Amino acid sequence: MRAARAVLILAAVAACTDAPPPSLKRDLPPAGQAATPTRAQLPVRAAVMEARRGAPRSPMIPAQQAALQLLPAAIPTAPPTATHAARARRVPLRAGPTLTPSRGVSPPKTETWTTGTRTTPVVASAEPNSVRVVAIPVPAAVHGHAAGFQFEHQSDYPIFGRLEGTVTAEDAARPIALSITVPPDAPAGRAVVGIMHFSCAAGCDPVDVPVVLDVAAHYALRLDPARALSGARPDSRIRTAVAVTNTGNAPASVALTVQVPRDWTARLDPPQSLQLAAGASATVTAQVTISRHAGVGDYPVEFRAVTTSGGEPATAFSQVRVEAGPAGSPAGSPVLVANAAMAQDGQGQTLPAVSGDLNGEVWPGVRAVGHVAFMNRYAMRTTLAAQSFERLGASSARSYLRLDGRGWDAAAGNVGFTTPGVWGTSIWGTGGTFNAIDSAWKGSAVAVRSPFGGQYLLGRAAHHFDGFWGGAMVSDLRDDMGSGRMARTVAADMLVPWGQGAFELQAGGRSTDQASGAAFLASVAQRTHDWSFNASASHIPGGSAAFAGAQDAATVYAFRRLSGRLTAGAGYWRNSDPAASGHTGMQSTGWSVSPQVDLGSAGTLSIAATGSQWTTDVPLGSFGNADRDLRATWFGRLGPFQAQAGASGGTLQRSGALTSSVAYHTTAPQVMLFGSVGTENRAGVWELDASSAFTGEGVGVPARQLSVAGSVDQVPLIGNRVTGRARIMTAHLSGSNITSLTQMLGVEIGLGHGYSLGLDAERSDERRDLSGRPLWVMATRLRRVLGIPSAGSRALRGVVYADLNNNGQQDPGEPGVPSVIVDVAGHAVTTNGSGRFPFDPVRGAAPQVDPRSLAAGWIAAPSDADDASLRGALAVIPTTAVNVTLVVARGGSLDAAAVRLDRAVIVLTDSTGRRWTGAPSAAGLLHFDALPPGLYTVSADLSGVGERLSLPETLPTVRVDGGTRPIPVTLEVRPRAIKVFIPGGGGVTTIHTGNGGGSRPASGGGSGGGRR
Amino acid sequence: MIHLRRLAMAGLAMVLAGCTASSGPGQASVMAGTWTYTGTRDTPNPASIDGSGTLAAADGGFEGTFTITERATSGSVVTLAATVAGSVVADSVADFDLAVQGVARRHVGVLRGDSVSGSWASAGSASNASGRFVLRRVRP
Repeated sequence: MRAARAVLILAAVAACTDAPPPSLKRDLPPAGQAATPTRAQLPVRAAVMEARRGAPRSPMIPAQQAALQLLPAAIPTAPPTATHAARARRVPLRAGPTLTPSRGVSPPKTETWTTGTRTTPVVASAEPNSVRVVAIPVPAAVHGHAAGFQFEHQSDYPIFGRLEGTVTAEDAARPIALSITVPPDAPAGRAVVGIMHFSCAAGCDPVDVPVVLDVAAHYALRLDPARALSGARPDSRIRTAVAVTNTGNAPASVALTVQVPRDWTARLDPPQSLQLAAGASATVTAQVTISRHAGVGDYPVEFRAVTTSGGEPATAFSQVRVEAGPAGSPAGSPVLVANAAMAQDGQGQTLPAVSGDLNGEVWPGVRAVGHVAFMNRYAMRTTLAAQSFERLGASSARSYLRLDGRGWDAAAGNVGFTTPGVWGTSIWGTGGTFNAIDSAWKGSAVAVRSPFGGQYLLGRAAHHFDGFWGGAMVSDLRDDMGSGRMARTVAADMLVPWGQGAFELQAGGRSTDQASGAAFLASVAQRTHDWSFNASASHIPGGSAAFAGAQDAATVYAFRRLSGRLTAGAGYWRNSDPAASGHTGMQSTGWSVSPQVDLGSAGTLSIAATGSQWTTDVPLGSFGNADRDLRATWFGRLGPFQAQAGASGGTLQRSGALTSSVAYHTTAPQVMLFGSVGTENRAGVWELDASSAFTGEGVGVPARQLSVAGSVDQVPLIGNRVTGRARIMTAHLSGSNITSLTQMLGVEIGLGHGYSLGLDAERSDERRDLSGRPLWVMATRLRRVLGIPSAGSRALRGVVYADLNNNGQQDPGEPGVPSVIVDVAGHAVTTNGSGRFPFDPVRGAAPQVDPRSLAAGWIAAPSDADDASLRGALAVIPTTAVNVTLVVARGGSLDAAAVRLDRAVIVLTDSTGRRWTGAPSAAGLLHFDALPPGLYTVSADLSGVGERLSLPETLPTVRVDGGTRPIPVTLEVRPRAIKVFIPGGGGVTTIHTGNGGGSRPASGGGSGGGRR
Repeated sequence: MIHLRRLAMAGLAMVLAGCTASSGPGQASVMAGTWTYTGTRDTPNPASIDGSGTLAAADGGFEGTFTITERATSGSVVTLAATVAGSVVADSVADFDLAVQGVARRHVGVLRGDSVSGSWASAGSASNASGRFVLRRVRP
């Protein structure tokens, strides 16, 4: 018996060390094959292997090529990919004449685990992501005997039921039922999931019954655009790429299409359909030509992929941001959009207006942004008319001009701003502002005349000391509307870098006609990738002035990423604005807790619990509100639609304590349902919103409210030159049966030569004439985009370049990166084909790259305000490579030579659950290139290595950021205990892998019959 | 899942149970009719407000619509539609919200004969606002 057991153990170990058959290697191409597939067929892991073998990092010219070359390694491999391969190896097909090898199943092979005579397999069909019950008949050969049986797993599929036991001569007719859980990513086709071994203590020969699942094919795809955002000008071309991943469980023929806005064209490279194995990826590039008539804005480029065998189509979007500018004009040159408009406000008043919007570098080193409008006095005075005008897009009555120069900016005209702190104010009016900054000094001056008759004057200066900014300010605020309308402040402030944020302190004195005293504000802010924290406290004395209310305030907000899919935020605020003569004081508090769950492809679930209350003191006494609300909102996609749906429930409370001895409070529940869907395609932009609310009595809210709104825009009407837009909104309040209706209708007609004509009309119950009747407002607008010859190429002093050696300067061979969007002093500009963008090198503010417009695997190099970024040289760098070494722990009886590390699959999983996979070399080394920044967990699928190995309980993690020095990570694996069945009394024995006598019994041998 | 559903139902029951702890509003039918509105906005930006509207009893309170015109001291004029919903407390206090462009202004005033006078306030994430008002009934 001992000899038989030893033979069996040896046989089991030999089975474990069998190399996987060649058919299983198709998604782990050997060296030399990875570089040969066509661009479109390059699988993700092949690219990773290419990088592992030391292929030089591709230069980044142009950026689209870089996207092509880097994308395979940067786009996450479908999560099931590794497990597909692994399961294929875990399910070697045992001897069985009726089975036909299929994808993921090895051909029959000699196998020494088998101890009995093979019978016809039990074959059951199954769907992925299902549970299949399989009945295994007791073989006739053991009928009439007391027989033991035990199930030998040949896969990792969870299997439950009678996995071992005995059958008597009497119940031999009853089959043995097993319940097999088929994972969602189970490979299509037939595969042995296990073998039921039958044996008798005496009187019969052992019999093996293979159990085979025939898994149905499931077709699914995933699309990952290389760039979320690209920048362009009208009549230009860009290239954008998308990675197509077969996330189904069977090979698929994939047809890919791309949809672009009207008048745009797009061409796919390669244009033909793709053949993708399960889990494989390919990159497809689209060359998009932007229409010369395209207006300013973000436009979607929609990729759509479908398999010819069925399954749900996959869609993905990449945005193209079109900059203002005439067709063919160089990026950065100034643009003037001229409008001539007429509006009829429904009250017999016709409002002519001429306006212009200027944006661009009008002089070397000076950028101008402005709006100027000329309207008659009626339009300027009548807020309703001006607002109606704006609603219809005709023009804004507010004229202003802002100039950004070398280390300074100035604005004049209609200006408005809000400043926090002890000199805090919220003011708008006519006036001017001026700011200047250099490395040592900064200062500001503000003079604004309020429309209410007052003025606001502010002067501020600060100096950069050793490690912090310190300064002083003085302000004077007054209006002409009586008491409580004056505030003077003198204060000093300090901003100190601290930790991963900053600490700010403001202290001084403020006097108003209500009160005087010390004022202070202290705030601290910390921020990292995974958490942030902000807290502030302030005491500002005075009365409730129109522009600068007195307050004692405290706020605390925090955000934390709890796991890859779960984030949470929480906050609390308290504000007290004491009552002053002639004005109403108010105290308010609030809190919120808002976890958010990333549901992957199913969208995002956001939950928010909030509470707030306020009370106010009035001559009658005091009254206030208190609200609590729990809201759940889902964001995601429903086919081609972006969708949002949610519900909330809570309470509204009203209270009052009046001097007439009337005190009361009323609480009522409120339940809301809301949802919206929208889509954007060649037929225009379509949106639909609906909401409904049910509220209890006595809290000042109608019992039932229903609102529905629908809108369409950019709908082609006559060819593509005439587009239509419409909007309708209706709100219904039950009980009083009140209905409000707003309707808007308009068309945009392209006239050619840069001209367009817009005609719009709107009627709204919400907006009425002076007699209370709903208004019909109509507007006609003629628009032309004009290029202004000015700065030309001299303005293109900024550059975004690929800093391949990460030394912070552009060296020969380090190319510029086109189509990147750069924020220059609050204005987005796009790099041209050489990576250049308009910028004045001596300006105070450093430009910043919009990370969404970078190819995957590239990030903006960290910089501070004093380095080359101030000169307009913005480096983008590849993310740090990760070198993973798979190491088998020494000791035990493991036969290291039998371990085939090159058949493992190393998996890096980021904090959002996306996975990157690759096969290591025979020495266990794997080089991951161009990973997006983030925190990764390093794991491996070891099912194919030939020995039973297990991962450490604590998996190593690695943080990827920018840099050129690879990060080494070691993943140490150990021999794994396995159980083998010893027929004829051997029972169950636990051994550790390794040839020879390294087995260690974990449970005693049974007394016979396969019983434990 | 069933457990979660029970928890959710229990939570809803608690919410609804909490709603019963209210003192009920008084007769609201006294507010039914046509009214004129005269008032001020004191903070943050002064303005005079006038308008008119009709109220009707509904769901234990009253509801209606007003059309109001705000004239800021800067000279700008805007005319807006507003919805009104509220209740009468202790037969002498009118407590209602007047919603203008999605912002609810809570009004609390003493009901004396054919007029209601008092104060209003609204608390928003951006700024607070307050003022005074008088409602006068329009006799047919």
